Amino acid sequence: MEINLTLADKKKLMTVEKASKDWLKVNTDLCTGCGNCAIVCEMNLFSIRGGKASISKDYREWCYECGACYLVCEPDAIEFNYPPGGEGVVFVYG
Amino acid sequence: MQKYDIVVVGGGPGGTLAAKTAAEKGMKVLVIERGREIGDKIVSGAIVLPKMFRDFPFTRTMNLPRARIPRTGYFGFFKPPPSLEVAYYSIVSMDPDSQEYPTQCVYMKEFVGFLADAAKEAGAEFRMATLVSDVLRKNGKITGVITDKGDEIQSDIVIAADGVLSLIARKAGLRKKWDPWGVVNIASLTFSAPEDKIDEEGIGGGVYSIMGLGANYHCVFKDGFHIGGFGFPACTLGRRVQARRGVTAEYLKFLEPPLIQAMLKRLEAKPVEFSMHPLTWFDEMPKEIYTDGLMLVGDAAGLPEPFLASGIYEAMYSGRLAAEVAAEAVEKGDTSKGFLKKYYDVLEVSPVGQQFVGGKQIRAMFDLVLTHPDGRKLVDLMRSISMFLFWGWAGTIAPASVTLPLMITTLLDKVPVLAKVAGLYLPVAAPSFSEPLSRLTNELVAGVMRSAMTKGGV
Repeated sequence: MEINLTLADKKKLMTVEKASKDWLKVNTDLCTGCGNCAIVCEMNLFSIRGGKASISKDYREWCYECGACYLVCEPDAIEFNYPPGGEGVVFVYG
Repeated sequence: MQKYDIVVVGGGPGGTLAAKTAAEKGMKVLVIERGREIGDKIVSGAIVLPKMFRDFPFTRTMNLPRARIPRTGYFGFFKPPPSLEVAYYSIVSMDPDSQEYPTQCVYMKEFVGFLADAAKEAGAEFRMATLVSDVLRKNGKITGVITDKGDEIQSDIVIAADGVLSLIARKAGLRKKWDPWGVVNIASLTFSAPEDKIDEEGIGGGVYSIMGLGANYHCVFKDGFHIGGFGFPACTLGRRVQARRGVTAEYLKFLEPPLIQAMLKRLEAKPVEFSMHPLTWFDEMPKEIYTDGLMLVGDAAGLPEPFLASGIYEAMYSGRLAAEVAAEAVEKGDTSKGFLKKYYDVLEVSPVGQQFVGGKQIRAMFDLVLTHPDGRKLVDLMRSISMFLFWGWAGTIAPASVTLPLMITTLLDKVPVLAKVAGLYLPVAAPSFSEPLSRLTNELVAGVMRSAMTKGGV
């Protein structure tokens, strides 16, 4: 049985109520561009541009809220809150 | 201004138990949950063990529509990639009918729904789809919470059951965040499968975990199953960023071995949901879990235990205990850090805290399996301990309750930690069942402990 779990596969296998406002951001003053966030984000929501991490524009649609990016950020540049109540990822088979 | 005796942040297993307990003690309790429905933010794949039924009698009557009692246990270890050969594999048939309260695989949504109903029945209020964004403070003491809708809710005590990333712990200044070297990020797939196919699997259906260097686990429901894993070997986020590799590729490797492929095919399995969730897997019980007016419980307190990293029982136990201490604090009018230390002190000597004693060496066992000359025996031992945790002490497992201490004695010279494992895990499981064999085992375990002491192993 072929299971690939490409980004497109994962997107098909998740349910998200898109958040009505931003709740995750990178403080570029603190970011060192180390790329830790990009390594651990399984939805490829981070990229390093000009020595700084930047978050994909559509992260509100595709984030699991696992917080791995925030946990591995050494300079504490990632501000991880949560989507407003009732919004964000929903585990249908939770 | 709204005012409660106790505000509980988070409606998972820790929060619901805290709410139920406090409400039963006559407290005015509010649970604030950010999901629209209970379980929206909890990943599936939960296995509830006999010790939960032992210590939470009200759960003995639960009858969840899609839960399954496993009848077959698989225990295996893979060699690290690229080989991925099965280094060790065994099947254990179980007769759950011989168990008073057998292990169950449950969807968290159903299970926590049951716990929340019990809390509501006891009189706790629930406010859904509401995020707590900050704590209220007066003279440095936490006196309530602020929601994302701008509501200020006062309470004598706040119990934070808001999960591994606990916003409350951060806002209260108890910690910035967990050390990534102590946190794993679990990838998991939930599959649907026809109920009758699962019934046919093995003897009467049911699969349990393939543990191992990859710490991969299976959990089988009535109408589907869940495979979770976090990489080779027991790969924490700290190890991941050091090695610069993500988890998905390794997770997929778990699905490649022929025995897994054959199982997926037999079951006509269809992936229905993928998820990621972080889990603390500490070798010591965290200390900063209370302050003036606040206690952290469950994953928010970093309580998943160091052997199987299971955290549901721990959340329930700590939630109940925090609520008991909170009710006493409210009645005495003393919600200071000094009084709430009681929560920490009692938790430390409870089954939850005791699991952490020797945690460093317990964690190290996972790394020893493939390198230690007695690795194979260690696997046998870990398998036996898991069997006890999963299936208690009765039925077909009973003979192992005699051989287990003997196995430990044989290995003691080389792996002294085993004395601690024996002393800590086995008595925790033992009181589930008042059988002569469990008493006998306890005596044997005590013998192992004595022998370890004379050899200076402990």
